[in-house]
Amino acid sequence: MTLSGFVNQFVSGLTFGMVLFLLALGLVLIFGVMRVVNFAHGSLYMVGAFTGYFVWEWLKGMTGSFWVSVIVAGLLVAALGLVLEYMLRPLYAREHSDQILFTYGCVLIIGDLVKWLWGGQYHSVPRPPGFQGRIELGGVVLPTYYLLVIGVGVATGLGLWLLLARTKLGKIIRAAVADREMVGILGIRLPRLFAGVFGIGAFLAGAAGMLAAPLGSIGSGMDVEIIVAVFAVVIVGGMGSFLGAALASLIIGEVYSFGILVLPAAAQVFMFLVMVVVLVVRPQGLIGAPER
Amino acid sequence: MKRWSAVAMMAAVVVLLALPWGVREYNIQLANLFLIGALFALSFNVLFGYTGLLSFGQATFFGVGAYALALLMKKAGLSFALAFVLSVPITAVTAGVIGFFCSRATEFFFSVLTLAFGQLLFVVASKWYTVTAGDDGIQSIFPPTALGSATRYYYFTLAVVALCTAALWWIARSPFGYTLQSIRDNPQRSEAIGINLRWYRWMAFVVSGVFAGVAGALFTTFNWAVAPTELEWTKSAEPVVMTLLGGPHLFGGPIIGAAIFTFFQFYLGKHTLFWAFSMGVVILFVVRFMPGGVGGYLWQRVQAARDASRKHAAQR
Amino acid sequence: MLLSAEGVSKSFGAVAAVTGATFNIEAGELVALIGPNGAGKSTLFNLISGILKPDAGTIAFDGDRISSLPPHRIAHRGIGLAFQVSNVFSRLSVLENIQVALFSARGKSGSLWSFGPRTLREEAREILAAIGLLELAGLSAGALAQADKKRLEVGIALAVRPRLLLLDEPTSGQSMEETDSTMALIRRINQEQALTVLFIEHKMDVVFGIARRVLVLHNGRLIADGEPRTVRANEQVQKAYLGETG
Repeated sequence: MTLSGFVNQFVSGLTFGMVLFLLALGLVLIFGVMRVVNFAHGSLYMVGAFTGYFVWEWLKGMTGSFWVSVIVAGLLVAALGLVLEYMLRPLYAREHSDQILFTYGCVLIIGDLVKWLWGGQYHSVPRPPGFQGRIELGGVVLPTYYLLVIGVGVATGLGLWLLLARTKLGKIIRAAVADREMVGILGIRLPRLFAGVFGIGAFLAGAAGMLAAPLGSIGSGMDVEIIVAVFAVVIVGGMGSFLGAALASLIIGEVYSFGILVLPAAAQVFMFLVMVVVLVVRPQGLIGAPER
Repeated sequence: MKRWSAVAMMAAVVVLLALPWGVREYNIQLANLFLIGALFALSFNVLFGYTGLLSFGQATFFGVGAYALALLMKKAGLSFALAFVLSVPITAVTAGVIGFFCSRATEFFFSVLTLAFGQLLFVVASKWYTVTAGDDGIQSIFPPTALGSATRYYYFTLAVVALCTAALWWIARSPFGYTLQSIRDNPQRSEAIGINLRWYRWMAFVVSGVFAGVAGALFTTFNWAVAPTELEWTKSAEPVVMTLLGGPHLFGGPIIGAAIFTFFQFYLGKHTLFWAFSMGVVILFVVRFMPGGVGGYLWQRVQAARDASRKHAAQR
Repeated sequence: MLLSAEGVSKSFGAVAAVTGATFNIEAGELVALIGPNGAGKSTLFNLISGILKPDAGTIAFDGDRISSLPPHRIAHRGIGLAFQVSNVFSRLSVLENIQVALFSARGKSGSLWSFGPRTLREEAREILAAIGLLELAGLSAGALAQADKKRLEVGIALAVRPRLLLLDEPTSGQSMEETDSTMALIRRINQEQALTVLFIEHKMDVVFGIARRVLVLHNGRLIADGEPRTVRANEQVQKAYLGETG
């Protein structure tokens, strides 16, 4: 394999990894604060992709329509996330299996709704104007859109880091991750915090859906395909760690990208292998805290 | 209490035995599907109701059993009887391998892994054209002429399912079954009395997988064909719904759930667009409002009535 | 020497829960482990029973190192544990709770050949009688009152016939009467069954009432080890407790 080819695959994997990162961020945030695992995260991603696509179609011709549709997708999915969170509330006190079952049921429901609203076929979404070409960097030719997605991913990561480290909301979130009950006792309204966190996570998932749409095609199987990859990230990186999510996204993205060269039809196998190996060797993930 | 459930059971057995008499073939096939579903759901409940593990990949073993029978009959040319018997160890080995990894994870991670393995095998079945004929699936897998009619195959299914149900009931009541329940109720305490959690979870997984595989094999010669859809994650949702509906904390809960499920399946039509949607709604509803399922609810009513009558008797 | 700990330490991040704990317990002893809140007592129990692994130091039981064994193996070696928060098998009946423990003790946990409800039933009933829960045998454990759950907890720990019994606050939440009967039970099992007992307690009258030796933990370190009277007079111990309330 030539150096140029290697770099190409690497950047491709990095791009996919960034999408996974955006999703994993939301999942880790929701879990860290609410101790709820959102099985429906992939479904939110799919809804984001479809709503974004159809908003973009509707706005066709308008300048910046792609970006508008990314934001709108994020907002619509955030709203959906708030609805889900509201329905989930009575279950917070219950066993984890009840919460898992609930979000699992949502996956079934959302999956069918998407099929009903938008049909079961696959659509391809073109890249936004300005990013449809390629750029040459040091002898390697890379699609500009990939670089954009990577940029967005890094920016989001930094943005979130700033949010957590510098803002009041960030401090509350970090406190809640460390000790949820304490935060409630301190007078912070937990329902609002939970809704907010779930909303942010959902926004990230929805926006990621539309952002990732031009990278491949969107269709009704997206939800399960992506959620397995995102779970792989979270398992490898540890459920409680943002840094772990970042590292793991990179790893899983690259494993998938290079895996396609070996087994084009089933690159998922390699993601599996990584997930399985990590689970056997270090069940708490590479960075996450041991969860019993 | 025991008397009531014994009576109910005997009534059910009589109904099941007498069913094919004077009943349309369509309904015999429905009952057949119910029996297969009941076994499928019971296998799921070994993990969920008894061991406290939520598996979203039960269809994996259903599919492995189904494909094993199909391939052994069509590709290896074995007789139905031999193929059916051999499908069991094949499923057991698969469950052993997958279970080895899944049993190292708990709660959420366990569920995710079962889903992931399910997807993996689904992809394998869909893409490995040379062996599994891919998306087309394998057709024309007929039971032997001795079981050729709907009625005869129904009785065969009834016999196999009854045997498996009895075996599962025995397992649930054995010390092994009690150990599983202790793991469900309190893994930490269970470990503190000397129980190797990983081992038992692994074994529960294998038991669960084997019985799901038998259900799958029964399905193959019922359906005369097998396709990758039997391995899809939405298929894995079916025993979940059945068990939740009937109640995971009663041995017979999954059976009740399977009956309700099969009943609605053919009034709503399985291949309508809203099948997954309906299953999702049922899950949401039951989890939120009826956590013990229909079976659990009935059980509570009977308990309450019994306690009330006891109080009444004591007051007299 | 039944149990020996040598330089045992455990930290959680920046918090040193236990530091350099060194002590021995002989067979047949009845030892109390006391200390102000947060001193590391439960952590020490978790280290002995294998739920946690020490960062440094070793723990040996009957001469064999157990610090690296998983909890279920340590349980089989003969260390029984009764938790502070009542940890019973809530969906099983009271009788079944004991039976499950007996199955494990007899190596029958994996058995598919016996009929569970009848297996070791008589022995289980005897244990229930010993802890005073026989009339509640058929009740599901989750429905028990807190105090009864505590007793069942002890019963489960006893059923595995341990040689060393770790009791984490056995009288917490109990009334004076119940506390007295629990104390009597502990004394009885220590003397009649020659069962070595190490228990954590906050109630000083319990400690000085039945313990024949007291270990004091403060900020993760053992600051005293000896007869109850000597420990009570120990200046460091008094400072530790007074310092907390002062």
